[in-house]
Amino acid sequence: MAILKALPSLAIISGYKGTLDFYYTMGIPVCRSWPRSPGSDRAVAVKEQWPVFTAAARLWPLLSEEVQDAYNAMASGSTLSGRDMASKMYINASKILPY
Amino acid sequence: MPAPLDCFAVLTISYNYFATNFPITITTNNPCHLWLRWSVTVPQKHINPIIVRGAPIGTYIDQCFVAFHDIEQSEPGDRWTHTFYSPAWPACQRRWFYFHGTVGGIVSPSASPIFTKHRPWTTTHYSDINTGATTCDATITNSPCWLLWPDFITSTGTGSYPTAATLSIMLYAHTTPDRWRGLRRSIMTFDLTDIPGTHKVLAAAFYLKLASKRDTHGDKPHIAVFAATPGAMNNIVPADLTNIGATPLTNQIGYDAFGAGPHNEFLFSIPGLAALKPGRLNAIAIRESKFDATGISPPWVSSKQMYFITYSVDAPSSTYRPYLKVAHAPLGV
Repeated sequence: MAILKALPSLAIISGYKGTLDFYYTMGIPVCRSWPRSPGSDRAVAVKEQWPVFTAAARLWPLLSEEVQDAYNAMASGSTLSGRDMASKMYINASKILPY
Repeated sequence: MPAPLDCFAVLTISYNYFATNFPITITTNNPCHLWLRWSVTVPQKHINPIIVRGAPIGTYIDQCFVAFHDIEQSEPGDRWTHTFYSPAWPACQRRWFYFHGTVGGIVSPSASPIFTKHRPWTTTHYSDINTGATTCDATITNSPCWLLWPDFITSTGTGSYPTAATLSIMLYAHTTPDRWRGLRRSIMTFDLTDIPGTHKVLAAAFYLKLASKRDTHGDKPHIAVFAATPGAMNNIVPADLTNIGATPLTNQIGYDAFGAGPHNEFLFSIPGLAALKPGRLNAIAIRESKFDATGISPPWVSSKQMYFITYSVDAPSSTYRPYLKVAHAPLGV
């Protein structure tokens, strides 16, 4: 990552699409190489998270219509879908509801 | 990050409208021990922007849930099915609730979505005794007759018993091959005018107490509740034998399951609920549902008999009377 004095023009940023990524972090203009998926070559700690995400992703079709409706109602007005909300609430609901 | 077995999700939720303490039953994907957290205060939703690299890319939700109370599940230990009893939930009160809990004694990071439920009113209805009041109940019969099966099940009635202590349904074979000699069905009418016409029926159940039953040749007859359109609501007459529908409004109960202990419960299906009209007099019927309602003839055997005899509103003990329970609430609540 490189710290810049200022972000270049949008035309320059667009020209580097797929090669360089320009953005602000903490208000500081920076540039980094274009992000690429590491595929399955991930850290052990990251891999340990996969089963719960897999379980969360498979839940939705198992939920009754009334339960799905409740998630949809909770997610309404936000950019989340009811299915997103179900996954979040399954993995960690403490940021959404009082514990 | 939790392991999948540390988490739980509520898969289904159901309500028993007819229990006095309005139990709520849920199933979960993993065994866990749960609490129902409820409040009568409307939860406030706060939608906040998600800022990534200085740009808003979406929103997330904070959900306020205040002035809450917890009810622990009634089952001990970690279970897949969980029942919560709310004895202090008044009729017509809306509550918001969600479920949280532990897995293996450790607090689970999961929670259910917030549900909301308005507890409906539940009213119990009996027919009036004898005839001439507002409602009544009666068995209608075509007996003795000498008819082939198709004519038998579409035949008109020859008698009705609106003051008898019992209601019955019966199929009775003649001694002549392929001929049938006795048919019985019963109609009950109920006054639902104390339910405002603006209310919606959310659930209903009909309760019937068995007096005796017979199945001479192991045909295993079934009994169910059907729609009825008698000519008068306060007197059932022979002509009403054919004023009975052929599509069950409720579950069917088989011969073996129809017991002599407490009242047998017929739960109305969702389509069946449409047959009940608040603010009016209503009629329903009981009919043999495996053969009589379907039109499928059981094998003829001389003098074959199958019947259920149940107590009517005119039974000597008032605790034996059949009754209809209705859960209802204003439309849109």
